[in-house]
Amino acid sequence: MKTIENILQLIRFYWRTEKKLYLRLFLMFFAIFLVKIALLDFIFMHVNISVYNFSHTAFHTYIYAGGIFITLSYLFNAVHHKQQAINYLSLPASNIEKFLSRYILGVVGVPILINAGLVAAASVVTLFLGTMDCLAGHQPAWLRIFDYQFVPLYVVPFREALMGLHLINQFFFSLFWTNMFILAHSSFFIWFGTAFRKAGWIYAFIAYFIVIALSVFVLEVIGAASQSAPLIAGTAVRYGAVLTTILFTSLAYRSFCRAQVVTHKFITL
Amino acid sequence: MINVQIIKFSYKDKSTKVFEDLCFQLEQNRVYGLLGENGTGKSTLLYLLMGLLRPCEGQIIVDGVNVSRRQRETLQQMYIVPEEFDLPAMRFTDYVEAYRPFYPNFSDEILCHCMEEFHLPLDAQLNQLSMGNKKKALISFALATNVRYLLMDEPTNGLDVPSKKQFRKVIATTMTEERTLIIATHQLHDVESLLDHVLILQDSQLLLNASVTELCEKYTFGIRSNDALTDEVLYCERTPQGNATLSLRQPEDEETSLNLELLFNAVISNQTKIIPE
Repeated sequence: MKTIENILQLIRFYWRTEKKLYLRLFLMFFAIFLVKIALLDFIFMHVNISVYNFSHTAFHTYIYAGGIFITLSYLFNAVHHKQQAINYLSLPASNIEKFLSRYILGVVGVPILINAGLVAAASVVTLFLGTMDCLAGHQPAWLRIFDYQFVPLYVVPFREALMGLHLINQFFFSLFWTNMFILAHSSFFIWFGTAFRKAGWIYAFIAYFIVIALSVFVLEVIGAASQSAPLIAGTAVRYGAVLTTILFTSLAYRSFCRAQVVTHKFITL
Repeated sequence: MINVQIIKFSYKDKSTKVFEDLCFQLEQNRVYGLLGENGTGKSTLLYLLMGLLRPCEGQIIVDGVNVSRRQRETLQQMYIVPEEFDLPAMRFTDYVEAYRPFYPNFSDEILCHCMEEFHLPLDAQLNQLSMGNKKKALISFALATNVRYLLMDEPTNGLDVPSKKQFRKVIATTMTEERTLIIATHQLHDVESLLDHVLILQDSQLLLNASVTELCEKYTFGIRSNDALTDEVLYCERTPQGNATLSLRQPEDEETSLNLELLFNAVISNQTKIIPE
């Protein structure tokens, strides 16, 4: 109970001392989504809806994945700079409290910031187009723009569950594994960001693509040997996500605990 | 109490050992002066005492707890004022509000007293302050935390002459019986009057670990003419006034006040004779 109170105290501390950083991140995502909606949606939606659907999904995936993973790799950046490390490591809180508070801040706070940027950008465009439609006396077709923006990952299964197309437990099953999959990726990037003093996210992406390529190769080999390959692959990915989360979260915590006020070390292990 | 138990420490280049079998204790209610030439490891020792660096061998125990674990209860009783530091772009009052919940014994009274002594407004915008004023604000905060162990690395660097006097005044007025203050500095005159105990580092070792009382009981510091340079003079430096000397105190000699610079030079140049038994 005391640990939870201490973690909340640290989160309040981050808000007090880093709110300008969060505001800058929000504005950055807002600007990216504003440009995307204003240019991509406007142009492609009226040219070719299949091109639009593809580019829309790809863009959202890149922004969410890139935004979350790069930001998370900077989560423990404070321990890589001498003056910030003195300040942060000497702050009266245990290692586990500091680690968990920043972990929660990253895996919960960063997606919230990205979604807030998206909602704000979509709202601005929707309001602008609505105003233009009203002034021109047109039907409000602009609502589609807003509807299209939100992550189908959560919205579509939830909507389908509500409409009775899926059982509600299937929705929660899908939601659980989706979150576990995101958590596994997040832990991977957090560890690289904690362990490497500079540009951890670049090493993380390189390692990530190597792992993906190897996994695809292994799954292809299994697929050639067995007809139940999709089932095996699904199970492997799910358990792989759990193991990756546990492994890289533990490694990131170990790296954080071992962090010292030393500026020249390339890696903290 | 801080107990440094036979620690070894070196940075990445392991051939250069910063500390070799360093072993000493720091008692409560003392003001320690940690002195040493450039690069002898004064700042490194402060980081080790704070748990910001880990010894390669040995351990540092603060009130019964290994400081490398960086436990909340231990850190609540320790504060370090680094030589160089970043302060966020915010008002000092907001800075205090952000950090004070972590220090259960935080005193508004001490904070106001120190800021008043330093002639700084409580709502000062930190990023608009000069380096000296930033340091004064951080020293005020550090003293207000009321921690048991306060570590300061070159606290008077960047302070002007009146501010150095103010610094000595706030330290003297805010010292309590529970507090231990460790000041690492090469600005010897700035802290001379504050110290209860002197630690001198040289060649990975602690060359001198003695209380000021002990030093003043054993040695006298004064100016002598060339004719008066007798056998009891252990060290002397030529000055415009004559020979500044450090001598073994004789029964008939009156106690003199500590000349820290002279002591430091004597220890560094003539170590075997000066170290008290």
